Amino acid sequence: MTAFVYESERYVPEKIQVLGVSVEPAEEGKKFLSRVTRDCEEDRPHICLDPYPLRLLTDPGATLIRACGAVNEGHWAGTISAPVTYVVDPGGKVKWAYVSASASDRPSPVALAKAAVAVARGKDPPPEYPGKF
Amino acid sequence: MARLKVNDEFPKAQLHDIDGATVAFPAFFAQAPATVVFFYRGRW
Repeated sequence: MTAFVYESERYVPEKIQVLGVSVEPAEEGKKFLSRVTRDCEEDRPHICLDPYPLRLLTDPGATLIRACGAVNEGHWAGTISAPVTYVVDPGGKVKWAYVSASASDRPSPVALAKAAVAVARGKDPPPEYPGKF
Repeated sequence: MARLKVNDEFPKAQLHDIDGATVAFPAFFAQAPATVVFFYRGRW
């Protein structure tokens, strides 16, 4: 998630929204965002955090996560989401997706940004940066 | 539930952000030329 803040220069100029969704309560999200902000301010002070490049949503009942087919009911911590990333166009259509095999398998920040910027410009995601399904 | 894939319509849903503001899908997507949505837990 830190990558979304560190890579904000790819998203903010294009007015791309970035949303993180979790079953975790709002307080956990606030703590996490506070740590990410602190790290960014210390490590990369040149990055502008106004507007903040990331918004966190809570889905305590996993309603959206379940509707997206991304729920993991068997995790030791209880019901959580699978680590999935989507790029969605203004009409609500999914244009790019990356279904991770594990928590450590996340899309390349460059590939994701290229896909998002292409969609923001009304184009298809570039084939040289495919998603994963 | 089948997993959402490319060219699918994002499901209708209404969530709250960590400050309590309501975010309704899919209407929220119309506010930007593109939206990245990722599901996470903890630090990932």
